[in-house]
Amino acid sequence: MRSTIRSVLLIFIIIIIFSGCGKEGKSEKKIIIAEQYGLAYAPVQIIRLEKILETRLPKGWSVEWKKLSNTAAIREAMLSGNLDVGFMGLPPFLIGYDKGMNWKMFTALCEAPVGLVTWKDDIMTLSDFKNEDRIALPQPGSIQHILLSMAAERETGNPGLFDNRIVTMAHPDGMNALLSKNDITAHFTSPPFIMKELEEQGFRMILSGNDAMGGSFSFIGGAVTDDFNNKYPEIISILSDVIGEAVDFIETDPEKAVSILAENYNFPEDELYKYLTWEGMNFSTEISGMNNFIEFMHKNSYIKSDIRTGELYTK
Amino acid sequence: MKSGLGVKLLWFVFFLILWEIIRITGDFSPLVYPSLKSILYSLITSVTNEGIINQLVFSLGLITVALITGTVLAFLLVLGSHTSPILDSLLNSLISFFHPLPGIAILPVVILWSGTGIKSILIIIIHSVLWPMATNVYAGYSGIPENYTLFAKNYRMSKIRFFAEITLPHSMPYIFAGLKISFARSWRALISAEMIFGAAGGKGGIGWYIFSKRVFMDTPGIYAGLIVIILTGIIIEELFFNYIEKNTIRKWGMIN
Amino acid sequence: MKNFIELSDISFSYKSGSCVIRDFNLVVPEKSFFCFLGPSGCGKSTLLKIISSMILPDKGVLKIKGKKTDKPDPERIIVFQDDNQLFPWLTTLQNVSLPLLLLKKSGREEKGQEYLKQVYLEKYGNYYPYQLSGGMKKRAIIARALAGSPDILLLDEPFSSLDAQTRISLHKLIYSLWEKSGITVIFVTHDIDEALTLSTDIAVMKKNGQISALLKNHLSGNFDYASPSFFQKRKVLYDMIETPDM
Repeated sequence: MRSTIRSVLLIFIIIIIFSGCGKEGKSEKKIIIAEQYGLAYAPVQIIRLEKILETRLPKGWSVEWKKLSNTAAIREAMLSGNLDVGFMGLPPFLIGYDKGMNWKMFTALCEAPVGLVTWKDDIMTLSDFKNEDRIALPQPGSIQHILLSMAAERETGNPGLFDNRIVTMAHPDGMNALLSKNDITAHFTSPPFIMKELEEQGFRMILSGNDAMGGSFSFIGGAVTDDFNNKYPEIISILSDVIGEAVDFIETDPEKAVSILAENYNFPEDELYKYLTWEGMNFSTEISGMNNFIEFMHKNSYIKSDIRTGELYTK
Repeated sequence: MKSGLGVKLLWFVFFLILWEIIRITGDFSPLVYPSLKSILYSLITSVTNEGIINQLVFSLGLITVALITGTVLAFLLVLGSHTSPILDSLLNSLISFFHPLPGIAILPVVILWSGTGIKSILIIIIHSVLWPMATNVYAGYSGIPENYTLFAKNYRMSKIRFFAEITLPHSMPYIFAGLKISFARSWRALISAEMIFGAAGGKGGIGWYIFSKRVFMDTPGIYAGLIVIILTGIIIEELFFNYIEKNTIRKWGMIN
Repeated sequence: MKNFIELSDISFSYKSGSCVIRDFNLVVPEKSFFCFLGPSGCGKSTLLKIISSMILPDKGVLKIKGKKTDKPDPERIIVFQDDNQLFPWLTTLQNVSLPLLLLKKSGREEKGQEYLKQVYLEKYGNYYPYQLSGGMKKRAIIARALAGSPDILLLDEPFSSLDAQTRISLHKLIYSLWEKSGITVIFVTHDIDEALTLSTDIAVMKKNGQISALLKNHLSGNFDYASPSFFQKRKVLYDMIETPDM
């Protein structure tokens, strides 16, 4: 009996020690920023490559950059205290906020030509999809998924129509699957993948993001944890400023932006230039379309609370 | 080191209680460390409203199909390999090529070759089943004592009869070891595959369930999914494998 | 029948070159209890396998009841010294009845039970082999070998792994079974006492696989290990057997 008590105690102690892990404090002052892969993150890329933020931050501050593969990973890293700022689509931000994540949006990065691309000749509208057709997109709850649901509601009255025909794939895998013309008949994707797909013979866009939404919207925004923002609002305001400058820079001098970015995106300069100046690819820090997302997601129970736009933003 | 179903479940309950004690005493965000109540609530609504049992049955159905197919294939390969030394060396090489390859590692290739449907998931879990199974069947088949074959010669047993009445029962401990490894491997492969490319054929399994909970930040739901996986594993091991084992090879003294 | 089993000019060698049998000739009379006695490694077991047709000689002829034979058959059952000849997944009764099943004989259950009774295992029919002692396993193996009613029983050092007590009781058992059934037994041993108490005919083997002496044994069935004639015969045989290479 005594040995049982002793072993149970031992197990307790071990577990308590482990449960305290992953919470070590940061000694020097550091801002950790995560982005994902895609053309929409070009302003962030410029800041990172040119070390703009590092030069503008007060003394004693450093920057750590991370590249994460999806928004869920960004949210989880923020929750575990390993991330201060992350860039993502608006719907995943709303889902996190709705579930009780303490974070706010402080900027947008761009509007972008997202859309649904297919190779099947007999598909003209969403209602042409058959049961065996599969649509690849990053994940449920992503901006691509929400836009598809919006369009499905508009065209067929059933926002969940495609929920059982979705195949979750990162953009590059989705593109490969679509191009191989196998069972993936359509791909809801974003730049630069959408451009690559549309350049292939026989691939067409049958639904654009703007059509789905019924207006324009910010594709990617930047979010910061309340913890960080309350402690260091001045740092976030510096970050906002440099993002604004980078956005202006890309819009006013795309050639120069391309020369900085080409190596990073691994594209020839002329190709990247074409993509960066593609119609609908507008870099801007102004957050737009948030209300439409909230309204749709609330109505269809993707989020529970009726969020007001004002509470979502910093300042 | 054997503990029965009851003891394991007891420990499981112990850890659930421990979970709650730590949660109450510590200051954790419910998004990281949800309460036991919310996890259990999520578990119950999953069962009543979201058909998690159907998804589980779907997953286990796929695995059953893969286990049967993999076992039959393994026997065919091993039988074939015993007909010629070339085939024998071929099988041995195939096993050493493919045995170390985790099912999930061949996922990109499988998607390229046969898309993202049920067929691909089946290919991946059959791959996870086939090679450990072949290794074990091979060991069982090669380990048939000479006096068994001489006995069969003495009474002029037919090849089919020898296979059914001597090879099969003699190989049972190996088949069982293979089945256990294969089950564990295929279960993992299936869950990983579903977490990577989602629902197969419009009907996701338990991996997809966890994945969709993750993307919608339903943390209690993630834990509920994990609990379902753990309980399924325990139940299958205890009720299925151990039961059959107890009534066959353990009863025959072929394993201790 | 005098020439019940006949080996003429048999030669055999393993691929590895070991254990060579050259121009071997032997006649085993019907209903004899025939024994190959000799040191290890002189081809005794190989001869047994040749007589059962489990291996084919490179040269020479094997005749059973005057007929040339080159395939194993259930009339010549061979039993090895290995303990694990019973199938672990079958009960003792199922093991013993298996030859009856394979030979498509009727009344398997009763006949199997009958053979179990002959080896005093009737109470152990539902036991699995791993639950039996070494001696019990041997008895079950013998019962199984007899179950198919063979003409010839070939035993390869069947009692070697047993303790002295069990061995002697098994000697008596096999002897009485042989007496009752009237089959021909050929067995291989390196144990002089075993050969003397059991066999009617003893072939003393040389290391080169040849027979050095073929003796009639009148002590067969006489288990009086203390009698003068036993001692005398024992001494004769002892002197005949070559000492094995050390």
